[in-house]
Amino acid sequence: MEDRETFSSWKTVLLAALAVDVGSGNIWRFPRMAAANGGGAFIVTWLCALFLWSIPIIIIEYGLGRGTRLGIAGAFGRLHGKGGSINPRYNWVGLFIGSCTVFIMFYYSVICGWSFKYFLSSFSGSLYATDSQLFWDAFTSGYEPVVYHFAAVLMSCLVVWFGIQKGIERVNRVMVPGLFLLLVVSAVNAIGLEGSGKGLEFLFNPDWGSLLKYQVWLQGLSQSAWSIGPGWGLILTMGVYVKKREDIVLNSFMTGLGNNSASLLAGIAVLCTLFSLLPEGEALNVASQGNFGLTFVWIPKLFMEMRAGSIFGTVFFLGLSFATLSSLIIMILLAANVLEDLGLKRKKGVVIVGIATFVVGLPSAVSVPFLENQDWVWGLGLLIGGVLTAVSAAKYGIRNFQKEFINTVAGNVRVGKWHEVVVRYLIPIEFFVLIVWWFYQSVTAYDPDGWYNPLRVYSVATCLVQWALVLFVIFLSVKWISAKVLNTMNARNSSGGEK
Amino acid sequence: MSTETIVSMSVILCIVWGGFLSTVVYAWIKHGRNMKRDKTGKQEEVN
Repeated sequence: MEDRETFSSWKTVLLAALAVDVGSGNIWRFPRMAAANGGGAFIVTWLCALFLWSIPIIIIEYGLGRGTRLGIAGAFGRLHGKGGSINPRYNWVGLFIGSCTVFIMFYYSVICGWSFKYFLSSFSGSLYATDSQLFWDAFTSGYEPVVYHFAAVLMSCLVVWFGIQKGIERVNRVMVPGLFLLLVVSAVNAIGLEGSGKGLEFLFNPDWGSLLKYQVWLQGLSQSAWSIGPGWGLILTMGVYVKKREDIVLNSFMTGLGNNSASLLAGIAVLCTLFSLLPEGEALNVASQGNFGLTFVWIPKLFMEMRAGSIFGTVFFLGLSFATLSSLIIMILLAANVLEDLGLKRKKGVVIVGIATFVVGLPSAVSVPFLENQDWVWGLGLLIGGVLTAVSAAKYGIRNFQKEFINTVAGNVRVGKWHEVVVRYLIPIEFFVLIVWWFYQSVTAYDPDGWYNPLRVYSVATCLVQWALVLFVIFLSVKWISAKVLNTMNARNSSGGEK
Repeated sequence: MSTETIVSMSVILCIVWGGFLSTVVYAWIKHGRNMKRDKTGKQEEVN
């Protein structure tokens, strides 16, 4: 049985955590959400959500991964298992969380491929040679997304193939600082544009009256949940590979604040550019376009009108490529880690995950509505993942969990009462309000005529049916999976301890 | 830009960017301290 590699230092853990968290959610979703929800007021609610949802759940994930040394296929069952066993009654939690992330991975590689295409087209100048809407339509209706989807899967799998220190650490050492640098360049350039002050005014000037609107709070919470990704199982997977003495509470704060720093840079870059090139009303209208509309149609259009726009467009899309690729790599690691816990060799697992990602991702590569449906279903599923993680720790006894899984190393930052209150009471309440509100949105705004139809893109029924199917498969296989993970764990323990 | 915007921008950036940078610096210092302690411990063991 192979020994588990660990990250070599706290810096590489931080880089990997930022690689996980800083993704498309920062670059295209944050500016759009900030614009649609009153700018400054939204930022206040988004900051509250960081400390009252995202960071407390990330701390649990790190603790669970580091403490059990099992990925999502066994960690939750191991937490509630007696005498070193894996309890199938709780193990389904990790399997559901893992399923949500794996289904996201299947279409995320397509988005990563789009970013590659736009980076290359911006670099060559072909992106600016035609109308950006026509370019987008021609690209997504042809075979090219499949080719770029394949390239994204191949690159990510190659990195994971080489392992933690030789693959992921090496790539992150270049990509994560590179991404931050590209965001800084984009933000500084945008601030330098004439009229960019209106963008800053909009982003940072808080309209205190907006804080009384419940939508602003719910959007702040959902943005934090989507962007930082607590309950994805990705941080849990990383926790498996950190050293026992790693300061996981400090790491969680660095990760959350680092992710929000990247979001602010992206917000400044996008909103200052929009407000400097368009009249205010039109800028707001553009910012409220869907994710893909803003990033792949409007951003190229704006760069086209800007002096040296092709250079800054290339910088922007290279940043987007880095952000999506670095997140995809950790998703592939999560899936490969599940297969490793089931007893497969890591490299064999990476090949299987790569083939599965390419094949199952094909429908998303050829159909944008299919991709949007998957984004809606599994994005919402992640909120369930977040609350299940918190409830699982609360069920174990949050004080015991803190003592045995978090506050284990003398001299490290510790958590106490605030974490207990947030995990036990606030997170379940936040989840309940948020999920009810999202479904309400679906029924009243997204798809009022077809919310009960499972074949519609943004319906309530499509979520419920797909989640139910996945849960059905999990309940059929959870005992078998738990037994396999236990065998692997015992074999690993008998062949030697942690490195 | 209005004074209100400048003040709120400064506060938000101080919390987010300042918070991020200060946690990174703290982790750096703590790591250095741990390394020094480990080195001293090993030296004492040898002696």
